[in-house]
Amino acid sequence: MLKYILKRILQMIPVFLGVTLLLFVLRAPGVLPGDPVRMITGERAISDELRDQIIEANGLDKSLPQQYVIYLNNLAHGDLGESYQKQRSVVDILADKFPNTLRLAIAAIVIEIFMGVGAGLISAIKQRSFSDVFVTLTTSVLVSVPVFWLGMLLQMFFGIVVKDWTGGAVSLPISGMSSSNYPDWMHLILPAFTLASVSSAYVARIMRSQMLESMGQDYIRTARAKGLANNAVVRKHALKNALIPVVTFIGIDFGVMMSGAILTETIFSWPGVGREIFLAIGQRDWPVVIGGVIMIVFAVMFINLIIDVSYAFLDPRIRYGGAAE
Amino acid sequence: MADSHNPHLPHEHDENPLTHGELEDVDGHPVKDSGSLNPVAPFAGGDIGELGTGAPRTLWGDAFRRLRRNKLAMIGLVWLMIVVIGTFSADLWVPTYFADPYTPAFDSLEPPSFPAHPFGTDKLGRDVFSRVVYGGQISLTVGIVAVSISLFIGLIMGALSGYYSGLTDSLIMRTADVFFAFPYILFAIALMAVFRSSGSEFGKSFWPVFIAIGILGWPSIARVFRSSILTVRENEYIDAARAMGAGDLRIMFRHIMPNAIAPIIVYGTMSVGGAILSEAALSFLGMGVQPPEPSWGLMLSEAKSLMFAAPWLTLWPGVAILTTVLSFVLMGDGMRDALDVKMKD
Repeated sequence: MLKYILKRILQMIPVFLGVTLLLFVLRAPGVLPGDPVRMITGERAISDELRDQIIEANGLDKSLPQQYVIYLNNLAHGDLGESYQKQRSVVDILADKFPNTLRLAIAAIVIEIFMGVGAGLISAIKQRSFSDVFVTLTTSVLVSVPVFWLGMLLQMFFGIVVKDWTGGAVSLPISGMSSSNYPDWMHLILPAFTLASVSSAYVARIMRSQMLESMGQDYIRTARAKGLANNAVVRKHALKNALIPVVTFIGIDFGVMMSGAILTETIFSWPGVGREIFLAIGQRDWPVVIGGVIMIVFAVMFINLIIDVSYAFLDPRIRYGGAAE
Repeated sequence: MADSHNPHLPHEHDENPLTHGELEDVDGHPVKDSGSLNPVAPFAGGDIGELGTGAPRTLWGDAFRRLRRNKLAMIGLVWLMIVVIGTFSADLWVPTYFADPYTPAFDSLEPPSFPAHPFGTDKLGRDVFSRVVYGGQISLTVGIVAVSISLFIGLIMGALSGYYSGLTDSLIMRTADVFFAFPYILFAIALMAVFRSSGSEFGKSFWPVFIAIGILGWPSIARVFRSSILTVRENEYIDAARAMGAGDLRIMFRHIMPNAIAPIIVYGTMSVGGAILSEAALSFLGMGVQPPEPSWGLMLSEAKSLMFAAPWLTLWPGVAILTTVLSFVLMGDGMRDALDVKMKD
C-alpha cells in the first residue's frame, strides 16, 4: 500500500515540474506582454538607478535557468512572490480569497451530490419512464448551456421577475457576498446553483449509466435469484458498485471548484480565487496569476492523489494491477 | 464539471431513453438492454427477412440507419443544418431584410419589434438579430477549426502513444497529464494573453482563439484514441497482418485506424460543442474574439451591464449558443448509440 502511494507521489513530480516550467516560460520577459519593471512602478518616471535596483531585487538580471531554480526554491518554501500591483505577497492575497472560494465550492458540491446522484438514480431505476426522459433532456440542456449565461438568467429572474410578481416580498441577492438586506448565506444560493448546474448534469449522466451497467451484471442476477428484495438489490449490490466513478467525478470536480470558478465568480462578483486571478490577468499582475495557477494545480493534483489512494484501499485490484494509468 | 474546467463534453452514460426503438432482438422485440450491448447487435437488428437480399450491410450503414431513427439526433441535425445554411448564407439575405450587423444607428436599445428588429437593438443601435446570425459564422468556424487542430495533434499523439508503448507512450501521456492539471479556462486565457501580447495582425485575428482552444483539446482526443487503439491492437487480425509482413504504417492505417476511429467521431462531434462554449466563455471574459465582431460570447459580455434595462440583449445570443451546442451534444449522443461506442475516461 505504502509502495503504491509512493509510486503515485513520484508520478506527480514530473507533472508538477512540467506545469511550473510551462508557467515560468510564459512569465519569462518578452513572452508575456508588458515590461516587468513598469508593472511594479506604474507610470511614474524612474531613474535608471532605481530601475537597476528593482531588476536586481526581483532577480530579473539573472539568466532564465537561474531564475527558474530560484523560483522553484522559493516555491518549495511556500513563497509565490510579491504582487506587482499590490504591496502584498501572493500567498497573502490568495489566502484572503480562498475561504470565499471554499464556501462556494462546498455549497455547490452539496447541491451537486443531491441533485446529480438523485436524478441519476431515479433515471436508472425507472428506465424509460417519464422521469428518465425528463432527466435525460434536462441534463443534455444543462451540459450545453454557457454557465455565465445561466447565471445572468438567474439574476434576471430573481432580480426582476420574481421580485415583481411578489411585489418585492421575495427576492434573492444577485451579487456580492454580503449586504445589509439579506443574511449572508442567501448570497450563496444563486452562485452555488449556477456553479453546480453543469456538474450535476454530468453526475446524473454518469450515475445513470453506471447504475444501468451494474444492474446488468451477473451478481445482480444472483442476488435476485437468491430471492433478495428489489430494494436491497439496488441498494446493497448495484449502487455500491456504481458509485465509484461518480465519487471520482465529484472528487475531481471539488478540486476544480476549489480553484475558483472564474465565470461564476465574475458574474456574481464573488470575491474568490478565480476572480482574483482573472482580475490579475487584466492588470498583468503575473506573480498573482502564476502563483494562483500553481496553487490550483497543486490542489487538483492533491485531490486526485487522495481519490486514487482511497480507491487502492477499497479495491485491491488497483493496488496490484497496472491500474496506475 | 465546474465552469473553469475543460468543457469537452462527452462522458460515459448509457444510450438515450428516447431512442429505445432502435434496439430490437431478432424477433423485433425491444431489447431490455442494460449497457452491455451485444457487439453483433448491429447485424441482428432490423427485419430478418432482409437477410441475404440486397446489398451487404456494413457497420457504417447500420449505424447510419440507427442514427436516422434517433429523433433527438435528427432534431439536432436539422437545427444544425438550418444554422449552418442560415449563417453562412447571411450575406445573401440579411442585408436585404435586416440592418447591417456592424453599422451603428440612432435607435439604440430598442426592444424587439417585428419586422425591423426581431431581437431588438443593442446600445449602439445595431440590429441584434443580424448580429446573432453573423455570430453563428464565428462560433461554427471556431468550433470546426479548433477541433480540427485538436484532432490533428491528438490523433498523431494518440496513435504514437497507443502503437508504440514504452517511453514514447509515457512521454506523451505525461505531457497530456500536464495539460490536464491546468484549469482549462485559465490556461486558455494565459495562452490568449501570450498570443495577443505581440499586438500583431496575428494577435488581432481569430487564429489565437482557434489555437488556444485547439491546443487545449488535444490531450483528451489523444487519450480516447490511445485507449481505442490499445483495444484494437489486441485483436488477432493485427497479428495476422503482421505475420503476413505488413509494416507499421500499413497496420496502423489499414487495420487499426478504421477500427479505432468510432469513439473519435463521437468525441469529435461533442467537442465542437465544447469548443463553441469555450469561445463564448473566452469572449465573454474579454479574452477571445475582439469587438466589433458579433461573437455570441462577446455580445453577452456587452449585455451584462444592460441586463435589466435591455434583457433581450442577454436572451438571444444565449439561446443561440445553447441550441447550437445542444445540437452537437444530441448528435454526439446519437452517434455514440448508433456506433455502440462506450465512452470511458
